[in-house]
Amino acid sequence: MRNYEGTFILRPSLDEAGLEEEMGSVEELIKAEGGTITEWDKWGKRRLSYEIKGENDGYYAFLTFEVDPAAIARLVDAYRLRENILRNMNIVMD
Amino acid sequence: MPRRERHGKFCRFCQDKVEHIDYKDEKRLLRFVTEQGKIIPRRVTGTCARHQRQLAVAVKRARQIALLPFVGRHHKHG
Repeated sequence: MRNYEGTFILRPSLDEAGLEEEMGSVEELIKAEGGTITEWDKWGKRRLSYEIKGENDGYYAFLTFEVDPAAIARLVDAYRLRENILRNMNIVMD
Repeated sequence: MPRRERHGKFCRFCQDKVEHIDYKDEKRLLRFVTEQGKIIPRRVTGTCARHQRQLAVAVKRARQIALLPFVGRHHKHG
């Protein structure tokens, strides 16, 4: 198990419920891999430095979690299928 | 291009006793990249070797999550 910090940029047009649903799905995926969620740091809507998937703004949310390193690739694959996740990046915390 | 920190070079990160440069601290990182978004060499900014290495990683991470541009702030269209 290792500690990670994940960045999630979600589609800005999502409403409160939509955002919760996306973040909930992320949590479920991590839990399904036997990981644990620590906490979300939600920045809210921000202008992107460059266009991603046709969007110029994005809803930024950072998640600290713990999961087996081997699960990261599977998680990334799963995030890619979600059209409302514009961008994801996972960083190992030291 | 405006010259930065010509007078009295010193590492800004050492001055502030920064242990780990945060890739989410876009405001701070912005001072170490040019208008085109390129990382400014340490010979210009005075950053120490250790922090310059950390800075490079932080800027590259910030670019991945669109906090910083890959190609500068004035390239929105074309």
